[in-house]
Amino acid sequence: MNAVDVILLILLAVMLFFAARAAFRRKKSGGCCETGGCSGNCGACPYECGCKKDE
Amino acid sequence: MTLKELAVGKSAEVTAVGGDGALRQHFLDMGVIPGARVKLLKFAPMGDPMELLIHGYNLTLRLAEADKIMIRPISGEAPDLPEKWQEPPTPHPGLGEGGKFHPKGSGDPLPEGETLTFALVGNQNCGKTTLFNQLTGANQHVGNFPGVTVDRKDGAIKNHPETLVTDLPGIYSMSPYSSEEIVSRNFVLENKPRGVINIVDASNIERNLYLTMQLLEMNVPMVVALNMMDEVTANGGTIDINGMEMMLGVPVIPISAAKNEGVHELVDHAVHVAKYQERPLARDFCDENTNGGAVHRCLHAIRHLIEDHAVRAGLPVRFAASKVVEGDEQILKQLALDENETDMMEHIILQMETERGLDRSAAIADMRFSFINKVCLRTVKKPVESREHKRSEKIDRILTGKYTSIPVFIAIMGLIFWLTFNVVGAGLQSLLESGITALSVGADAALTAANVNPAIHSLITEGIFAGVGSVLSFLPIIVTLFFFLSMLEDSGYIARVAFVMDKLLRKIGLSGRSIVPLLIGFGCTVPAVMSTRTLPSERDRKITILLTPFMSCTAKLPIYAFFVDHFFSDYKALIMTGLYVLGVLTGIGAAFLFKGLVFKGEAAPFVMELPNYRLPGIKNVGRLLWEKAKDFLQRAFSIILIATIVIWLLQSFDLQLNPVTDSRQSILAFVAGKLAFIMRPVGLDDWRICTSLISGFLAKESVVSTMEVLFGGAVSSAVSPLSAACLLVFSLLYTPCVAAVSAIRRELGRFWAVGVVVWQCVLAWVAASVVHLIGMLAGFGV
Repeated sequence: MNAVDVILLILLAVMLFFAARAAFRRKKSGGCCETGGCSGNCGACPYECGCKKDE
Repeated sequence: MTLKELAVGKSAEVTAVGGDGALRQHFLDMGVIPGARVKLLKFAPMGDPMELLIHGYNLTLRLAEADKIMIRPISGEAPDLPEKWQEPPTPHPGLGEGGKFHPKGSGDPLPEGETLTFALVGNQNCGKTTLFNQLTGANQHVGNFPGVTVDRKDGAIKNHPETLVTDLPGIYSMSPYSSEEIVSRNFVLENKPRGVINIVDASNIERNLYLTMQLLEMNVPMVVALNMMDEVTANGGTIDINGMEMMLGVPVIPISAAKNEGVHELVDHAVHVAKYQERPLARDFCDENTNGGAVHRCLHAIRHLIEDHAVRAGLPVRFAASKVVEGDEQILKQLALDENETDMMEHIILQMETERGLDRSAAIADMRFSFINKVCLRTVKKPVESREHKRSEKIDRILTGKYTSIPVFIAIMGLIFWLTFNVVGAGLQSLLESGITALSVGADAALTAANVNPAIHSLITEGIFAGVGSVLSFLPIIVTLFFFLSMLEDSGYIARVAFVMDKLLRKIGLSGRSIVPLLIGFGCTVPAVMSTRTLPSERDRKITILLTPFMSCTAKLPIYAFFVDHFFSDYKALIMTGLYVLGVLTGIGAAFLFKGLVFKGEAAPFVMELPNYRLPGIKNVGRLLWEKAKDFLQRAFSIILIATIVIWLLQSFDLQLNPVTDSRQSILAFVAGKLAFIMRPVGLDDWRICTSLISGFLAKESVVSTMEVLFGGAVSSAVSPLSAACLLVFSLLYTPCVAAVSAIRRELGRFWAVGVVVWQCVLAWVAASVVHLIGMLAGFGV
């Protein structure tokens, strides 16, 4: 493994972390944010799933 | 004679409203009361429902319901209001400003720091959400058909952090008819907002003021926002704001929410009345001199009779009294009257019915409309006919014409699909695709030059770039389809489709209103499922929810486009459109099945307002497209990215976690291979296809990214055209994604959510098997 490999692995890990966090939030919001239920505005999410607290 | 027998173009006066229960109350609330004048405009292309002009707005209802309304024909046009309006000399009452209720700078304000909560209440399609967006700076979706908002939404007024405004679904009265109306009514009754902002469509003022009357009875600090005043004045109409303010006893502010005119003044007044808790000066609309005063005496007697119960139940007394007379079950239950009181009340109401010559509900509705007529006579000069209405009439001659409506609908939908899949969307897609390919090649070269570890190299190029990149390239198609759907929605055409399609939909057990969620389903199943809350019947709602997954959502587009590009590129638009049609036809078949076996009975009555056509707002359409694009990108870089990496890992290592050179030895091949036998009769028993379909449960686009990773870009050589056809049919019909299933669970419960997953998987399996069998018999097998 060279230095580029290490940097790429770190970048991939960071990307995966943010992707997992975003996916988790979307799951919590009941899918409404991804579909116009609240037009992407989590503060106005019609589901009382607690996703407002994350924003 | 009945309304059903009225000829097109003829006018009549309503003499009696038959029927019973919530529907009859809804008729009365919509202004179909004895004495109201109606003009029959037209019948839908299939002869049912009919479109009426009443109180200056267009109402549709079915012949079966029209048969319950007795009329007396009158000659000539039905004027909306007597034409007696004079230039008003009314001085400004100054309500909602320091100086009327209390000297400026004094009063009894709420303590500092207390949140001023407001309910934004109004009829459907009167511009509540547009005003909410202006007030709060939010980006809520608005549309031009009744029932876009199906749940409450909150936000603080800009520059007023101490406030919280709740945008509620539109209602016609405080007698709940559909589940969205219950949301609004319960909010005002139970959450007890500090103030109400009642938004009134000034171009349709009589019907809108009906709700205002009931809100005033609730004795909550309130302001009336007269929206669309720009349209009224542009068409030669005018409203004596001071006079109306005096008669209603609350501040009245003319605004144009769409143009952000008058909104600052509205905010100032709303904050003032809520802060100082200035309640309406007028709550008693029954006149002792009107029609012998029977309703007046009845309401006041009952008001005294129930006062202690109403106070205990936390209900406004005057509001409770009128609801009790109407026979509102929920209010009666809350009041918990004893037998003696109930008897007394019944006698009082019976006496009123005898003296007034109308039944209780009609008498109360008549009392309210009598007051509204007084207000309008004194303060409103209506334009003869608005430009918007004239324009709508002209457009409707074609779009809802007897012989033109259905061909035009098919042509519009065909044009949308053609433009999306063959012209605009496809062109933009190939541009983006070449960009992604160039980026991918560049990244591959850079990784090779940097001598990166082969496993990491493979993860980035064959995993992330192949998987996520393949999905990203479909962004233009999805945005283009949403653009056209939002144009339909914003223009007001969707309400016409409901009108035109009602008779057809009734044959499969649905009401015309179900067409709105079904059309939204072409965009995404989740908002479609949520929008079924506008349907008044639980039966219609259930059937519509179960049918929405058959309307192929945009997330399935990448799957179709991917396979059609690889296998059937000569017939792209035809096969894409064919898949949509197959989804709709299967939905119709399923509806017949539901109607015959599970949900027996008739569809709910169709009573709907037809809004004027409006030019779609560029800002609104742009906002919606941006939200959709952003959402798609978020999905691609969250769920789909993770799924891609997981799939790549599972297909790159064996059970002992050693790297594999042949993916047939991988963990994925081992697990998916165990399930592949289920798909053998469908011709899809390749473990890679099974894996792709399973990943599609997370997000439909994942099917494509997973295939790209597992087949390494060589799908066309590994899969036969017949298997591709089977896969297209299976993808079209199998279980909706997890977000849609979760929305169904929220609306109908766990039982139905699980049921939908199982039923659609079985149906998809059967349909794909049939395609496979036919293909084999026709000699298309491998």
